[in-house]
Amino acid sequence: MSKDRGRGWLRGGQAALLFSLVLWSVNAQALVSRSFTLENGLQTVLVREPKAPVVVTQVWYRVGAADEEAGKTGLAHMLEHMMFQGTEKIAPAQFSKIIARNGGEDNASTAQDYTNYWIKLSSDRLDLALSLEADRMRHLRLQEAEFDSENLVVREERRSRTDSNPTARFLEKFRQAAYGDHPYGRPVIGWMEDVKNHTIDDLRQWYRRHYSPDQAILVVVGDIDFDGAEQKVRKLFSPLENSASWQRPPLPKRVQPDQTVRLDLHDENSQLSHFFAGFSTPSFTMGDVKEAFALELLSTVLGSSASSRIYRQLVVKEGLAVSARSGYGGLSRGEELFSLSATPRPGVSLEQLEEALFVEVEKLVAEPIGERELQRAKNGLIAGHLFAQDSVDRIAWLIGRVSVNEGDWRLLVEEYPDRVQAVTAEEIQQVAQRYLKKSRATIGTLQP
Amino acid sequence: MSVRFRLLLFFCLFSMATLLQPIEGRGAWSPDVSHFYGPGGMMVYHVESHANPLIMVEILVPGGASHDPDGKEGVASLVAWMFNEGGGEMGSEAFREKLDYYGISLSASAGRDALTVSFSTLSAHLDVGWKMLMDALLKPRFDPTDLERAVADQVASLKKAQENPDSVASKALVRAIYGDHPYGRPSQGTPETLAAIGRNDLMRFHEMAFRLPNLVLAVAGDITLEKLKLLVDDSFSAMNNIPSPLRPTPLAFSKNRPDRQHVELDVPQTAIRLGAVGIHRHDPDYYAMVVMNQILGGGGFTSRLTEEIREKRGLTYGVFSYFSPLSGQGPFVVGMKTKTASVEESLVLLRRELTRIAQEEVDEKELEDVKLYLTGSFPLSLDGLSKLAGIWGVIGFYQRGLDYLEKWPGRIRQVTAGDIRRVAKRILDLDRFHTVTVGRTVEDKGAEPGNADSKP
Repeated sequence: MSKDRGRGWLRGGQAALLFSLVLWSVNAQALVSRSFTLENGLQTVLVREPKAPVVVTQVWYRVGAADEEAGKTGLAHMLEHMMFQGTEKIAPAQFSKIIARNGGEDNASTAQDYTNYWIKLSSDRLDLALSLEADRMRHLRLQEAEFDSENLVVREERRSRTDSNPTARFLEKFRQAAYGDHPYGRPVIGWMEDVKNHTIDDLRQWYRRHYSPDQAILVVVGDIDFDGAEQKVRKLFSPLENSASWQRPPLPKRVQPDQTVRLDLHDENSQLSHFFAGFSTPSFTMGDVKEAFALELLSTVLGSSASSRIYRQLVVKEGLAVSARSGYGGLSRGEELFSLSATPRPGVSLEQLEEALFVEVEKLVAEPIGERELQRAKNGLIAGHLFAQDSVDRIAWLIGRVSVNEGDWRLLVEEYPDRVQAVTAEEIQQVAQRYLKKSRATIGTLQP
Repeated sequence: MSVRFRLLLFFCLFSMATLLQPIEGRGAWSPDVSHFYGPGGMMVYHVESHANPLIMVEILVPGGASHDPDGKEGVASLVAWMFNEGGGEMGSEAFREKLDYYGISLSASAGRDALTVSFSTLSAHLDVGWKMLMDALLKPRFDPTDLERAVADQVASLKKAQENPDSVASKALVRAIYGDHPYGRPSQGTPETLAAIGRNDLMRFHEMAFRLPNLVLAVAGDITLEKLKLLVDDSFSAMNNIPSPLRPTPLAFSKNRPDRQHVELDVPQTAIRLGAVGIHRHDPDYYAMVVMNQILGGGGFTSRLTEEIREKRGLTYGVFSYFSPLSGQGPFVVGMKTKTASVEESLVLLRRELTRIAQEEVDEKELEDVKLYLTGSFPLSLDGLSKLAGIWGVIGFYQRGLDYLEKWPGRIRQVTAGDIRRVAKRILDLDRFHTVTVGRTVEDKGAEPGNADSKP
């Protein structure tokens, strides 16, 4: 999960007080934005960022791999590829060529929760980007010939990403073990058998059901003028009609096994041994926002940099590992895995490594972290948050990523620094106690 | 967990040089730059922007992997790895803690020609950060226990790379093309050469690389020219002002004979690389090469190779070509991955496209479209502080001149179909190309349980 953060600024005296150890003299400043929803339900967020004459458009559909049925995995991603293969107006494979001729770039991505499409170009070409997106929202052609060859491309993609990579193969099984029957346990790209069995009718049905203005969020960030941009959006997207309305069902809850789930595999193609642990945790959009902020800080303290606990202890001091890190994304619609991973030094067993990692976890469970360490973690997250706004793409991405789960993007964009500052050492200890239990973990090892 | 669509993986061993390729321009928009010389003749580029409270810095010196001493390959990459492992009075642990405390990022990487230091900070912490940057530059420590950890990390990453067909193929290709030439060396070293490297090797290399007359400093962001001049004058005058003995890599060298190699790796997809010696940074055909490469297999989804191999036939997820214009003649490389059974068909198609662009003149429409892309996407390469610091650092390092960005679009527009054919004939001569494949010799799905097609 990405650590992307858009723009956010410290505001007022409260932040300055909390920041007593290092005073960050950042001026109060919010994102310059305008939000509106069309009658057909299309949700739109415009952000003005005039530092360069470029604009990025992102269309986020509220559908992803988690909405697939067993046996039909990979459909969301397959459709994503087909979105470049022609509409009633645009010939197959012409989409990206038209954008390139206009000095632009484009791409897309699919995940468990969403399917996302972006175009980036010179800001005087915003019309073009919007009209291409409006067109393919409702008028995709989906022909057999293009599907047949694009399906081969996706098989190659699966071979490339997963089947030729021992760690990726392992992690696919690891997620399956961690999530059981929950949709997050299935690979986004789909199982190869399922991908081979996709049909053009599957895709037509998927497209009809899910590609509709009321299922989408449009984010536009760049050197734009709000009135002009809003007018264009209204003109191009208002005429689009909704498909028979599909209500996204709530994600099933992951069933928490009552003991540690283990997955120990040997793969002769793996050159190194690796240790992984995943703890099921709530995300920002699941309700308790405070817990999510505490988890983000917990991960930073535990293993997100060279001054984090497991790097210092296992890699530097004890020399047990060549690398050790933790991760928490927090942006999913459902529960996600707070991860721990490490690679042992030659001669160190995975058992030794596991033990040493859990010693560090136990320390966080037993004692609240110190003031300097807490402030260091906060400063790091806030600095990362500020650096991310160097890029219009990342601002747009974060707004869309949060909105697609019906979350409030202002919380993670504008309010982020204040929220991070407000987390206490006790709250971090509490989430460590609640979630980092070995009995709740999925533990995996991969060995040659 | 997100699956990125159509992300071409450019396993570019010469990554820094490619920075200059996608710069281009419609109205040649680019933020104003100031240029001045600091102590000892160091070159400084400055782009001022107060839109965000951030400052990004890049420092380039001739200290890339091609300067590694014989038998000690990997020195440059270790110097880079250890760049944030302490400086002055502060050992690694205290140094890293302080960087994190202030939210400062400091790292370095070794390309073929240059060692590049990247530093970024909130402007509020510039003074703290700058002092740490200067300690790392002027008083590196290379403490032995940290060196040992760096070597262990590097050895593990070399081992890990053996799993990856793209890495194996790229390394084999570079060796095949360059042989004993400095560009042919393993830039991360080998377990044996890394074991032979001691603290003194790092100190010596660092001292030779960081010399004022050869140093380029590029700064973008929330800092005024006056403030930058003060910082530069105060801090850099302590650095050695005798020119670096590390000379740019020689242009000419004797070529290996073209060959075809296969490396056996148990994967369901074979990595293919074709490559030959390309051009150096100051080659008069540079601009023709940019356009030619874009038509053949450049980024995006519009190239001939993508059209023929991916779009029409579904043989691959990504196919690409690139060239690396270095101080010396960098490589020209074509690559893709495909299932074992399609390797020979793909090789025929790759060779056919290499031949076609050298023999048939490109038509005007195709040429015009590519020029529109290259010139029109110009602002996209300059829309952030880190991009600006990066690009000006490379322009300074290769001495491309202050008007380089401004003139780029015009120079692209001047390229003719005849220029493209000429440069393609010269560089894409198949008799000069080496071929590497990494994968299984024959497809045999049943043989390896773990690697056959996945099942739920």
